[in-house]
Amino acid sequence: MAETLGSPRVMDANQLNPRAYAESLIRQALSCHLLSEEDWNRIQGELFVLLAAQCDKWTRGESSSVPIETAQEIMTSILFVLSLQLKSSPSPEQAVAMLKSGQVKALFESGLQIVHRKMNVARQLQQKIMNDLLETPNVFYRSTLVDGINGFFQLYRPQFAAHEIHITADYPVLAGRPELDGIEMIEQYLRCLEAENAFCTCFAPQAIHHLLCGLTQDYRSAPVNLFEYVMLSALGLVMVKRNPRGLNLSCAEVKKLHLFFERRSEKEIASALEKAALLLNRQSLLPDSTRQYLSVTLPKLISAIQNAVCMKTLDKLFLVPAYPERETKRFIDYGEQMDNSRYQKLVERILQIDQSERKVDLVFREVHALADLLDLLSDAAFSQEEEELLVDRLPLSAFVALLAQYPDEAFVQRESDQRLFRALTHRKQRLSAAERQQVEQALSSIEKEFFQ
Amino acid sequence: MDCNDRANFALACIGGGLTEKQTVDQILACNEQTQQHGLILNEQQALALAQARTEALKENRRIEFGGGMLDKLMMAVCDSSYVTQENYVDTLHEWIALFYELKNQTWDTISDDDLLDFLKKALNGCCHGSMELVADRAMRLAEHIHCGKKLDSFSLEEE
Repeated sequence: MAETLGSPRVMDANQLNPRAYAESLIRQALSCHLLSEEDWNRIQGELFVLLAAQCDKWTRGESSSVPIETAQEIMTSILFVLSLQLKSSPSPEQAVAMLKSGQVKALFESGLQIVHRKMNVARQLQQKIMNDLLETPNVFYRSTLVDGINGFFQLYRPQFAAHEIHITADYPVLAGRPELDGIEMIEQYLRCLEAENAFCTCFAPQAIHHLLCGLTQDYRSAPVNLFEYVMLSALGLVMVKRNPRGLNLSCAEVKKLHLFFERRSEKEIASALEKAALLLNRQSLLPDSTRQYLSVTLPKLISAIQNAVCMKTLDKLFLVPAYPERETKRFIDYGEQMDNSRYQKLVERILQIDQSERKVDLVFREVHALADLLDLLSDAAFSQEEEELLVDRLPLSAFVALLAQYPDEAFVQRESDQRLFRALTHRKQRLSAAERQQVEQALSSIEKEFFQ
Repeated sequence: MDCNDRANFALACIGGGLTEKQTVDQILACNEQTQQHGLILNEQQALALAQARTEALKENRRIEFGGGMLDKLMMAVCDSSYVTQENYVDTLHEWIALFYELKNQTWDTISDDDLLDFLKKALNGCCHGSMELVADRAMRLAEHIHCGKKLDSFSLEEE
């Protein structure tokens, strides 16, 4: 870190790294001659003494040596804590003055107090969000905020690893993962979540659910940011002069928005969104924390809109809600099976009957659950003719349920299954066009249910 | 400044621990007590031991703070009936190398004092002064620790 003649004595705050503030501050201060080599030697010496003391605490005084990696980690932690203290100065120059005049150990102790204060703030922020947590089926939302953050507090050791995060913080906030470490990152992350949660809870959870279903029903298990879609939908609705609370833009309105954005510059889009945000605010739909957060994240929204307009995919950003529960669903109902002894007696009776018609009559009289029917088809040794007769007399819903069980010949192994498959195929071939359409629709809704 | 850069900065701050001169002084100060057992080191031998310590720390990627443990190590060795003025220096060299290696091999789960106590018991007990056997027991102890067991459940006697 040699001094260079003629180097400026003013620090460039842009060159300071928020993730390694103390390090970048010292480097800059040396190159600007705000710190002399003598100062640096003293600071290094004090850092070494502090490291020795911290390592001694780490080994509980039981070891005079530690692996270099451990010492490095502890030193990184010390520098992180010092950075927090130095960042509390009004300017980088004053931070250097603090470093020049103060003892490193004292700065470290004050930095640790900041860490503890930040931990308290983060705990309060988490509690505040949890008290009014958005009800959403998205698993990442709750698991990150509750389990993830709790995990952080359990593992966090500010004395020796203040820079560690320990958790993955999977739920993505719109502002992006804060490029910070340790408690600084967690606090910032929670502030983002607080702003996002405060806004989302202004809307009915069902409205948000339907909105996100418009993106994909898989949003439940995807690390997708909910706030962005809710905010854009609300802004979009205000722009088309509708009540934003429903989060229910129509396809036509999204097209209208596309036409609007298509002809606007970045500045004009920003102005339109800001105007819409003001209107949201007037309707008490923009909490204070969200208002500030929106000003930070607005460039991201603008950029996303411009890209979507360019790619003609604005409908993937301004979502049209979907209502999966309104789609016709058919469940394969296995019903309540008869008890074992009754079932055994029925099988015996069927086996004793010679006439196919009488066998099938008995089945329709006694069997009321699909599961029993499936068992009988395998246990009662029906002939091909009997199976055909039985399948032909099945109500359409039961026929569809059996078709869903045997969608393909590849699934059919046993002889009894092969007979049933042939019978089902024969009936399917004889269906009228209207019946076939009905069956296909029913089958597809069964498939949807199964693969959701 | 990426992670490596930060680590390098941290390392630069760590720098070196005791200077060799300080270590030599510390070693020579022990003469007062060790000479009661007929063991004494001259300045040249002390310097060689200080260098051996630095080398062992480097080889085992460790860093030592404070006065280190050389004085404790010398005290552990000096009252052994197997250590004479003739093999004193060699024994110390071997113990220095073995001690830091064993700290790593036992994953830092054993304190300096307990480890020195273990080495001392091995030397004066079942190993009858043989450093080769002490090193063998030390490696068996490391395996014992790797199995999730503790020092107090380790038997020095040959199984």
